[in-house]
Amino acid sequence: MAEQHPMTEAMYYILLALLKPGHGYGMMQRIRELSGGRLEMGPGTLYGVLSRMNREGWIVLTGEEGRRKTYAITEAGKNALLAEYGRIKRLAEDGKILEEVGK
Amino acid sequence: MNRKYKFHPGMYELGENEKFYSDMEARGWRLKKRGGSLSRFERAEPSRARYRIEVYSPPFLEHSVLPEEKIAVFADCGWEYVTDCGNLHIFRAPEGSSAPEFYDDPAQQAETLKKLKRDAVWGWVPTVAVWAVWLFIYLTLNGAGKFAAQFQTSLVELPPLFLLAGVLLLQALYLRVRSAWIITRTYRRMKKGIPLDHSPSRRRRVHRAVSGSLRAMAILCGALLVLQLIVTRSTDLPEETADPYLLLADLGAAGERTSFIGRDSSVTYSPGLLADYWDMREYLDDPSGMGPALYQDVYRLRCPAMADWLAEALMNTASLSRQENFQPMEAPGLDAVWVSHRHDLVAVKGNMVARVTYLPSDNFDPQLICAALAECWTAG
Repeated sequence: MAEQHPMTEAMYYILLALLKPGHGYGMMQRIRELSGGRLEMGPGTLYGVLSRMNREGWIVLTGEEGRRKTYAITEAGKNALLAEYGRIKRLAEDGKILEEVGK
Repeated sequence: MNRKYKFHPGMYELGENEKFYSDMEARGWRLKKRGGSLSRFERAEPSRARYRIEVYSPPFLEHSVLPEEKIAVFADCGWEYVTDCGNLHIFRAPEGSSAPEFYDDPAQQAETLKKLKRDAVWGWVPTVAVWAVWLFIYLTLNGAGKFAAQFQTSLVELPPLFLLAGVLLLQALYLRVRSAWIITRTYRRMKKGIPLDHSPSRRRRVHRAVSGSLRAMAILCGALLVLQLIVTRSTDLPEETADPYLLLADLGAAGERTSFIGRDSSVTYSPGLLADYWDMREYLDDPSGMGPALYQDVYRLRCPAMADWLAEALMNTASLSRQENFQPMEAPGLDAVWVSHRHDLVAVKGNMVARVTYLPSDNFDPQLICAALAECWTAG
């Protein structure tokens, strides 16, 4: 498998939010919760990232209520998310040296 | 009045438009509709609302309608959809709303501007290409010399039209270059992570001065054009005239005035910026049915230095002769004369220039016409 490019913060959090299927506004609320209120995602960003990830097959449309569409993460999306999580974890572990320096 | 129309900033000035609509609402005018150049507002309670523009470029050949789902997501975040115009979709968040900005990352917003930028930078190509093809076909059929000559004679006859066309061309060029520059700059800044300035404070003094001057010049040229068209008069040909053109009677022809293929004997006089211009035609009845006909384009130039230049153009645009058919001829009382075949001549004296066509060619007498012209112009 070709090495995956690092994800943007928006992609990472949207995929995290979609571990539980949801629609646009629900996702934004969930992202706010997941990030402890740190991340307030704009609707333009959310919509742009959703279209892109849909094209890449990381998420899939699961239903429509009125004009709202519900999405869920796909297996490929989960794998990408796990790979990114692993990458970030390694980065954090490698950076532990900073704690020594800081002391 | 509960309704108001106002010119809005150009479509490439996103921040300026957002500020413009916010300022209007603060003054009690809420945006209802955005058109090509004007926006329509309705009276409302003055409030401090935020306006934001989402640029949406649909796939090729599809109408620019924002997907319903996108509008729903924006609405859930507190953004009310107001109106659209082309690729611009305008949202409003009322006073006190905590609606988040559209994009966390300016680079992502830059992606939405890509097509707008491409259109601004390259949008002129199809128009110019169509004109180039048209010009190429025209030049192939008529030759470049004839095209230039037609341009020259028209310029002398109706200068405001060319001035107006020139100013409009300059205006279009200026707006094009400016749009391309603005959107490219906005795009590059966003790509670098600098967010759009939603409340730009630049006064755009230079732009206002340039576009104001161009508009004033266009209006002035338009007014001059209308004025020239108003003072241009077309009348029946008089029996005698003090104007600097010849009548068939001056050339010894006699007969009743008549019309030819539906056109009466007439003269059109047009005083212009570069020249006073007479365009006359006269037909006489004759038992043979082939009575004499006289056509003249006579110019009294404001600047005599243009005389030879115009004479050359008149030879090139003669409808019955080609330029190479004209040969110089000596004629007393005139500065220069060129005669072609047996029916056309072009004469110059000081600031006077004329092209004379006489039919039928059997009775065409260049010496007689030149003598009559010399006398007529000396008397004038």
